[in-house]
Amino acid sequence: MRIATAGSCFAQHIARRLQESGYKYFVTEPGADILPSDVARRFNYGTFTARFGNIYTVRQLRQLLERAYGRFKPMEPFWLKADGRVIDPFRPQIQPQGFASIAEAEADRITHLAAVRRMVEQSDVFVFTLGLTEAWECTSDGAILPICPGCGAGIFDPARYRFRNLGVRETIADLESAVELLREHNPALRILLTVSPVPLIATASGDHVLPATIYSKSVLRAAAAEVAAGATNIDYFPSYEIITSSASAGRYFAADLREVRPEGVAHVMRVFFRHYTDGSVVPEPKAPLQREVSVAAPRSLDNISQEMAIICDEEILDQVSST
Amino acid sequence: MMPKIALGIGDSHLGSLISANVQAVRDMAPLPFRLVQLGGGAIAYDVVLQSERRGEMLNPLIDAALRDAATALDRAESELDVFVLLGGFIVSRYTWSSRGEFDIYVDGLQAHPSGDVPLLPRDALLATLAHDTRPLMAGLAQLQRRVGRVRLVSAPPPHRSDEALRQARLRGQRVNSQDLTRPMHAVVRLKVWKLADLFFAEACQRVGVGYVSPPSASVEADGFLKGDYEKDGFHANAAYGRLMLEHLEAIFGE
Repeated sequence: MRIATAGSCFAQHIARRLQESGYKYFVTEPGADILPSDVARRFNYGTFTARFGNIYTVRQLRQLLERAYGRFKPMEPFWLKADGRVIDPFRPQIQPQGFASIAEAEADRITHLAAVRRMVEQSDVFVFTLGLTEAWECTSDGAILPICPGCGAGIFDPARYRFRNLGVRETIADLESAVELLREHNPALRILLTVSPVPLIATASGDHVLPATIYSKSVLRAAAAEVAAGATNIDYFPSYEIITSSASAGRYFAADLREVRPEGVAHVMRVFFRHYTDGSVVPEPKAPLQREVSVAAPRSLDNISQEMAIICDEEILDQVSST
Repeated sequence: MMPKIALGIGDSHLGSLISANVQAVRDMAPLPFRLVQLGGGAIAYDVVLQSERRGEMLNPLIDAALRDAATALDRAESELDVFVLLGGFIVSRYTWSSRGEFDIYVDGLQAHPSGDVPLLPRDALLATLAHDTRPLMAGLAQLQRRVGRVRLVSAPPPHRSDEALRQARLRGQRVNSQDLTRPMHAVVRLKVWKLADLFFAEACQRVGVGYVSPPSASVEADGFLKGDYEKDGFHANAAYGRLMLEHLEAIFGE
């Protein structure tokens, strides 16, 4: 069974635990096999099924699939850094330091979109983690960017980019379009939707980040339920509920009340394996997770981040705001 | 004559000259240096480079070579030159060990003729080179601190012929899971070599070690090794060795 994953940063937890568990985590863009594993990781080969980076919004997913099949050609050019390196605006953190040239970035994008097509056509299960409703959109053609231009990469220009907070109807429509495109190329594909429990680190909506988070998660949760309810081979998996419910008493969040602690991830994945696998492979949590359960002393956030090593574009917003 | 020392790392072309082209060496005797030959292609290819821990595994081999060099250095009465001879494994490792083809974008060089070969970003290859040669570069830096006149000698560039490579592999001494009949395309072999050449030149500069590129007379205008100097697809021949020896002797004389 080939399981592919995509979505917000929480999707990386799912991907990693699938890899550790012995299930066939499907990677369609593994990089050349001459790469040592630490170099491959540094260049984000195997971090995601294909090297798309985090896909925060459903519209970003829909547009990625459309781009892969030539149905959408965004007008947004590559971003040039001051040192001449080149950033792909649709996956700004995928290549450390950026690409060496526009020609290399273009060639790598061709490789990447071919890998996305292989993911669509050859996966048995596609797990998508819905993360955000807030997005930055190109005014020219509606292309959705994973981060706000100017935060870590690119230059913000209000004439070229605008903020969007996608509503429930738009999110349902985007999700239905994405599912339709997936099914068009892989009718037997089973789809598992889940909502990231990670709250927003910042909001551009003008609201306080707390109501902005509740709005975003509510929209995503409702859209996932709506789409899953009316379709075969689509299911909803309650990552969000396991981590955030009052039953967990907040103990699955780290001290910043945002990052999910390893034992929270372990709980989510325990439930996932119990309900969505045949039990033929018994997942073995990594040793640090087992230790964490039995050690009462809290660890620093830095330690947790290092241990989990999750790539989160949103954290750039925190870095920008603190400088 | 002062003993000059050359360390052959893996399947170095001067090592190849010694071991596979003995007659040619005899013609040129006496050698202007002591040769401390470290391993051969088999060690470089199968032991050092076929492992995920390949970088670490190079350490003991380099350490052994350094010990040999140190012994010779202890006997020397004045300053020595030390030449570390880089093997052709740098290119063969990355173009034979990959089960799937890839392309690399290098400005001004031809793209892989098949349009659907996955791209390997050049930074990823350079990071791989840095990973794999960490012990080598650390050894060079250590040697440089002690001797002060260390030079790393480049591997020869690849030849454009796929057929020679194919035949060499079919005659090959070792058969494993690699596809022996489909070498990585010549344009990619050349790009890997050029990036490796660039990498070593910069890495050597950082640790104050000289870097010796192939003699220009051995290279075609487009960067491939001239046919006159090609032996079996993998190795340069005795004529190349002779050319390189003259090149090194000129450096000895500086």
